Amino acid sequence: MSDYSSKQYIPITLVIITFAVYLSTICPTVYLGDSGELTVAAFSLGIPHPSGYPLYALLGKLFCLIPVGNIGFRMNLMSVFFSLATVWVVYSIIYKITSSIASSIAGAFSLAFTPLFWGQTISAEVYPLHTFFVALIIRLLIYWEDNRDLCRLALVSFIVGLSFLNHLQTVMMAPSVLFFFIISDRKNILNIKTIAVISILFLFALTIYFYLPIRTHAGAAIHWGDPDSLKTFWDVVSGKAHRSGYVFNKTYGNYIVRSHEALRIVLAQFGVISLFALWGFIKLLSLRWKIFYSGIIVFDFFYTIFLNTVNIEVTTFNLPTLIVIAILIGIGISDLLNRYRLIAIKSKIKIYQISNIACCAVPVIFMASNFNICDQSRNYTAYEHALNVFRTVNYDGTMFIDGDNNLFPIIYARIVEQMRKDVMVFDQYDLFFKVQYMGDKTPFVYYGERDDLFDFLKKIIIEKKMPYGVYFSSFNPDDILMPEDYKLIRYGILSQITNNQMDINQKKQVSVWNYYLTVSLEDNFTRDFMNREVTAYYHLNKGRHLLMLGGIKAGLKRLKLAAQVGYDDDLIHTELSSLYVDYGFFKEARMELEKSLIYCQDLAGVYNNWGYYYSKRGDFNNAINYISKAVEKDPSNITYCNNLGFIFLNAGREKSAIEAFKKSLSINGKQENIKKILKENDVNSIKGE
Amino acid sequence: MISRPKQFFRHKIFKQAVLVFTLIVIIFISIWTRAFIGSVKDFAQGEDFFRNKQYIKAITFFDRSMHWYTPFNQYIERSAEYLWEISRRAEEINDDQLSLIAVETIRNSFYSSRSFYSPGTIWIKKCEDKIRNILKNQNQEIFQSNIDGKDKAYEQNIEYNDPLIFWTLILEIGLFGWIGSVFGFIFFYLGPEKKPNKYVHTYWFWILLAGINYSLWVLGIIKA
Repeated sequence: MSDYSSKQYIPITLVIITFAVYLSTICPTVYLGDSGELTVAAFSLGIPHPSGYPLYALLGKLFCLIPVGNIGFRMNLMSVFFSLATVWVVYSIIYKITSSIASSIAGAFSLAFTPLFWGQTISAEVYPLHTFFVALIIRLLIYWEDNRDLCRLALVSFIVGLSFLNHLQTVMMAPSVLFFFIISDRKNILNIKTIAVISILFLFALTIYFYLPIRTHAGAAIHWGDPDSLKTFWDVVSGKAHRSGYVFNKTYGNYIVRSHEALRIVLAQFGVISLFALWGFIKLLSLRWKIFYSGIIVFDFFYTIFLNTVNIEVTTFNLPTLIVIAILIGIGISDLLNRYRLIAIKSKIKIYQISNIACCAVPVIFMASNFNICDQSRNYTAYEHALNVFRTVNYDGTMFIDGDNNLFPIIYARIVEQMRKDVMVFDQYDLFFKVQYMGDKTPFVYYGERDDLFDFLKKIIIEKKMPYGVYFSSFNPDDILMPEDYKLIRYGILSQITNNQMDINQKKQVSVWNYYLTVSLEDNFTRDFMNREVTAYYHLNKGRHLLMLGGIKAGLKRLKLAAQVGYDDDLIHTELSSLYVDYGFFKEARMELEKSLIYCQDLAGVYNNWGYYYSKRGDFNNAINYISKAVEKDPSNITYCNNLGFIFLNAGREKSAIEAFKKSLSINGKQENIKKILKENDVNSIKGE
Repeated sequence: MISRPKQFFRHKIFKQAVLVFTLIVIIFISIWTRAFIGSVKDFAQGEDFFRNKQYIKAITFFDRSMHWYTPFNQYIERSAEYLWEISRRAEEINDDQLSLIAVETIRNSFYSSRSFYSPGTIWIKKCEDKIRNILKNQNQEIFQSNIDGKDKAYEQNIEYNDPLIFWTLILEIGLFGWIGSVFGFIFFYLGPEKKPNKYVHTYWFWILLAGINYSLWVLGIIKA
């Protein structure tokens, strides 16, 4: 094979092999998390969550047109495509620096099979395109460094502009890129003509953002944040609408824990191979490249730890760091191979080829060890969940949806697969399926807060649509505030709104379980946190249903499965503990409460549940102690105040009970039932309120 | 001396074009094969469950088989036929819910497979008629009120349309066109080597090209 051939065909062959591996592990349809939303955005040329991702939607639409598989699968292919492109670019970076095929393979293809990187190829996500841009910008900087002319600089500027249109995290690369340019060629860079050219090209790339107001105005199926005015446009593009509560909102202790976690996760990706990266960093010839790579890693960690609240275990913001580490691994291995070759030549040992083969074996080891974690080829969880939700709702029913893992698969099912057009859908954040006025009084004008307006409109919808069935799709239905006289009851995997005048069709309530799709939910592939959430709640609801029907053994088995699948889900342990207490399984309830103490961040809620546990056991002193702790932790929570009042009443301490109820009414005076209880206890103290 | 055609075939750009083309062909064949195999495997499982009269599981796998849509794949049509048969059998035993699920599955699966063309339009029409009939029988009262237009609230909730294919293509051509024109401007106008082509080395050529494509792109996103 000629030199040209080996240089070209070896990486191409490996890219094809990697493609085959990715293709065999990607999710066959829509995935949980943002996947459903992003797929719908691309399919409908719409606008997903901030920063709007216009480039992703525009490129994604092309993939939606591939006439193979379903639309969810095609968008997953887009992730595969850009992940492969990233690997190829990383290979070319390492090869350009080292001229060593073996070390380039070791670095680039090890990256391809790290769990964090591979995990992004299995579903529709914006990160594969982001990593592609990160790698491309590094490659273009090397290209520019070869011949520092305006043409190459302009190219970098335009590509950086394009990368901003996919993910704002690119801004974290800006300090390193600017430093690199200025330190390398200050005189030419800070020239007015150069600045003018690169600024115009950069800004011209950013004009793709015009997509957002135009598509909002054109009536795209989804348009998060309605970016068709200057203010809403800026809120979406800057991420303000989505991220305002995220930044620097944790304690020092939290940040130390997050830093430790982030470091642990990054190092775990490459394992001991990371040591080669350290060697590669030492062996980097140029100081400015050392500072450039360090800058990427430092700012990347800064973004991961301080600028968002996403659990570190699930975050993918460290992908640029992985790219840098992969490049450094390649450089480190190449340097060691060169040293080894010199020794081998001197001592006439002819095992140099073996070391090359060993380098190529590194990605194979990564692939073999991470295959099971990343294989999502049997994962239909999101699709099955959406389908089951729609199968629960009556004809012409209405549904309110809460939580990304409910909302996004349902958006996909509704808009892409056109499911259940008879069902009226609203989302709790009023972002996609907007709440509308359904009253008779027109024109309708409302004076007051936005949240109050939402509750008002919701009440009218509930009243009007009650005869046809109104449902909530939420993983935490206990937290949903219901209008007066209405309550939620569990109905299959949903909750249905009911009142005293309405009878639930109990036969249908039981039979609904017979029509659910469960193959993927019952399957045993490796699940990420989102899949664990949906699956655990399915088991929890099924277990509750079985217990209700009297199937104690089968019900308990399901609930144990729910606890096992959702092992780190605080709400699952909380719900399970309450359910066990309700049915008198105190041993199991205690176990779940102990787990809640480990995983639950809302300690007030956990103390409240401990109080419930003790009260059901008749141990009122402990119950009062725990609920008092809950009130102390969260004094504005009326539920805890009321619970404390009820326990005082049960313990025969009426005076203390009255105080607790009064406190609750001072927080929210609209609680008619509590006022009634106070009256029943011959208390006249509410007259003044 | 090498003749001109031979020179062309030995040129680096030609070799790279062939390489990229081969790569694209391999990728497309792999995707098609993956989808086809998925379709065949799920169809076989669906058939097994159908024979054992486990209809919900059979629907699950026929649905999966149809979601692996590939052009010229007979298993898509056969899965739809099986689902139709399940619907018919469910009607015989008065299980309207199962019947409805089976026909909705056919309809949704074809919707999920649409690209620049819509497969299974005849099936979709057939299924929508049947869904309408089942719902009419199940929910006589509500259905009548909807037909009469007394309660059309749900229509407000679904007033969007799929983007139009023609304008979508215009949009994509425009997008790649203007981005490509910027690359052309960078490489040919700003590039160091000036070759004797009087058009490609002038800035107005690329600005004009970018302007035309940009207009197409904007027109596409408005009209799509």
